[in-house]
Amino acid sequence: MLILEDIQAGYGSVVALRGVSIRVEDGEMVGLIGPNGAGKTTVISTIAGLLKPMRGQIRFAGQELVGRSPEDIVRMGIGMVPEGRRIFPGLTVGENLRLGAAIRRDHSEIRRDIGEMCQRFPVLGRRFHSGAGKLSGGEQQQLAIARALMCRPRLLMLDEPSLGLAPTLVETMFDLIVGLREAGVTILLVEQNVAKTLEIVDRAYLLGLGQIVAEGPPRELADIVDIQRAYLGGKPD
Amino acid sequence: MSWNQAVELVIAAVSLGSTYALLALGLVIVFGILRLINFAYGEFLMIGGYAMVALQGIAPGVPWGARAMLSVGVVIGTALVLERVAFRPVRASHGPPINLLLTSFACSTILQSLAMVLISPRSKGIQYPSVISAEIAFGPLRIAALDIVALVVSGLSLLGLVILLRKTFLGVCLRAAADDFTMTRLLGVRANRVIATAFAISGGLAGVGGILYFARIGLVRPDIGLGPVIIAFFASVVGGMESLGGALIGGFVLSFLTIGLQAVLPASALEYRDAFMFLIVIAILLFRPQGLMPGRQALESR
Amino acid sequence: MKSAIALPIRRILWLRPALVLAVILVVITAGIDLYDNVLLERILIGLFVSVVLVVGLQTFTGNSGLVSFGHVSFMAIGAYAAVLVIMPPEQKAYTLPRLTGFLTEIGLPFIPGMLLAALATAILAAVIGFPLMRLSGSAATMATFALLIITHIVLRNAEDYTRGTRTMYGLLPYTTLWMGLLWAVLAIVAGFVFKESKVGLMLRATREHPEAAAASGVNVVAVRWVAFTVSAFISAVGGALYAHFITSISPETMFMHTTFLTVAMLIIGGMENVSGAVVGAVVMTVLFEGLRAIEIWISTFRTAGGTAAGFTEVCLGVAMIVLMVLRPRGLMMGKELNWPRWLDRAVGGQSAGGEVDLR
Repeated sequence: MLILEDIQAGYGSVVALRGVSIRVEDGEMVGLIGPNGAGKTTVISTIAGLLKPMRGQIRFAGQELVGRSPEDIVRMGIGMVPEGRRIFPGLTVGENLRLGAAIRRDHSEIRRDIGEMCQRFPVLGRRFHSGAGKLSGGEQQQLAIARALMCRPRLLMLDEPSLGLAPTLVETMFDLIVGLREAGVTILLVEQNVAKTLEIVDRAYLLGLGQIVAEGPPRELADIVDIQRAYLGGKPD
Repeated sequence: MSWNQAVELVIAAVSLGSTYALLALGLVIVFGILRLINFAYGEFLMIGGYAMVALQGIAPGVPWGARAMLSVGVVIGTALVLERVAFRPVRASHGPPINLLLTSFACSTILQSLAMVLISPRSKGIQYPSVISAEIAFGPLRIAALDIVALVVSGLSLLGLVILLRKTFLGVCLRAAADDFTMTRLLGVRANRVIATAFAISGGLAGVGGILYFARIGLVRPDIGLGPVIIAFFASVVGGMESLGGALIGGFVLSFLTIGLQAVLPASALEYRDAFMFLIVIAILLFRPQGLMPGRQALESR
Repeated sequence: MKSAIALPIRRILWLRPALVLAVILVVITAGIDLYDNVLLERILIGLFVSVVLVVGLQTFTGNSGLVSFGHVSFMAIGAYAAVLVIMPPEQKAYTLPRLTGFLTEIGLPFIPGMLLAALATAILAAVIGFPLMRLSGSAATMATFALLIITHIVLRNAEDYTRGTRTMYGLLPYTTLWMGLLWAVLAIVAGFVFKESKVGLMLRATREHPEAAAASGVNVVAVRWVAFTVSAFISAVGGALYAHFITSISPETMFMHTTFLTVAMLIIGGMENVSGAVVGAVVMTVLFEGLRAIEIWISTFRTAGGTAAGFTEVCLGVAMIVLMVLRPRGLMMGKELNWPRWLDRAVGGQSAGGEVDLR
């Protein structure tokens, strides 16, 4: 469904990605792991259209993504939960959800979806009219995911959803993501929490210093990560 | 000073403040989303004034109210044209933020100079219905009809704006864009449309605010825009550039300061009234850089 | 070359862009002086004054990343202060009849007077800058705008010292071609030395990544403050030169329009370095004078007593926007002017011909 071919991308004169190739098949949950600064967020930003790659191609459902604006890419069916949640604090929970469906015009369906989100994430229903800025970190994360789901994406990208969450919440968060996958959403999960990620994904890529260092099923990657830890000492994240 | 005089002054200050607040809002709308201080804002008012002059010449038979609304439309059109032709290309070139500031400066100069070349460097009178200059007696108080009209018009405009922002989907988009512009794009809201809308609203507020502003002086000149843009600018700053409630507060703070200082300063220091006012503004900025609106965080270094 | 000559020459190498700019300006000046055309000379002097002003602004805004609209207020203060100490007492008696105190008695020569005025302005800037520099980016910009307006109001009202809104005439034309060149070159060197100095480097670090710089031990407020003060000094020098070039000043002549032009010159040329400031001044001056000539030519055709006044500004504004779209980082795009590589190798064996641009 999503294919990145030999992507080189960066910020100004700093090259963050040197020849990254990734694929995500329909219905899969693919993980992208690696230490801080490896370029994981750059990958997501490039797919989402915030960053134009210097080289390489990105194809989604057969269509070329490079050069398209973020607004167009969303309309093609790619949703994103960015790093740090980035919910709109000045809007209510309900307004945040409504905005998630900005590209849709089917109003009665939108209302139904909002209701569904409130059922799936009860806290959102309870705090429907509160300012989104007043929610706790975990609640905001749920709002961010619900909001991203409102546009009924074919592919959902999550950038470090567990970041900044208390350990108990991290467990809940990953359960949630598994639940999403079971509902049929294709997922690209970027994470620093290696252990938990490898528990739930079908396949994963290990990113290091802008390049794919390894890829494969979780078990293989877990071994490689262990080797890395042994050689380099300390955890990769 | 007698009690009556004090009340009259307060009413005058409230009326003036509502006009200032309208002007400040026009500036804040664009700033909130683009982080841009639109220095050409004063020229929006100027164009509104000249539109009135043109209409009273071309179509004197048309009722004043219709002419006023048409001139507001002209200002909105100008704002949209400017956005499309000047600001959008500069934004698209991804330069530093100061480029947009310079663009607004350049637009201001271009518009002023166009007015000088194509119309005239001299003032032109704007007609207002004579009822505006009347004074109405409320018991022992004498209140200018203009003050009442200004309050009503500003109040209605503000109401309209609040309804737009809180009750419509467009308003939700605008508020979200002010919170986190990139995120709204990531949800598919088209950046250009949001910005054009913000400019249109800014133009509308400038148009209406301009009509109220010109009512107090009765004429328009190419450089008439400098006064209002400075007022709008400082009112926004005092209130906190990011919030609409702040623009309101700022407008009233400025109007009360203006009228208050006018009444209180000894005659010798009166010329320095504006200087005092701006000194107080700087002092406010130093103690509370985020503006007087409660509950706001300090603006990050951008 | 490892002799003792190499070391001082290496020092000079460090100043390469400033030298290049200086040499170019000297050559142009000599050429125009020989050509002996009064109009061209006046244009060139005007350019030199602009260079001083834009370099002054660049020293602060370019290195710190903080937009300042207030530097023309330092120009104005410097101009009036210079007039106050330089104007001969007899002239002051009828120009500023209500002036009192020691100012009525002094009439310094031009350069000492100008430097004294600039120093006074810098001290004022130091005092004002102290609270201002603690403000964040946007707030600081707004505060400088407020400063511009307040200064304007004060100058307009301090009639005993400034003649209020009325023009002050009859200033002596001390700013000749070579005087202008001298101070333009000095300003360029000063701007460049500051940029490459320790304070300048620390400041430029805060420009891109303030938190990282602060974490590395840079006192962000302090380096900004130094730049603010130094840039005020340079701007004040520019103001004094301006006053004694045009030979008449009023608060209106050093206010919004000048601010706009100065900021435009900086951005068009490229605000990141001194070369940008100078190039911006040159390009804008050429554009302005060219458009002005066309405007005058058009005026001869316009009937009914109209001039084409305003044509220049309209075209200038449009040209600015076009230039910004084409070159968002300015014409210099962050690079300094430099001399050809063969000169590098001949002089000291430094292989890199270009400057590493730290942006």
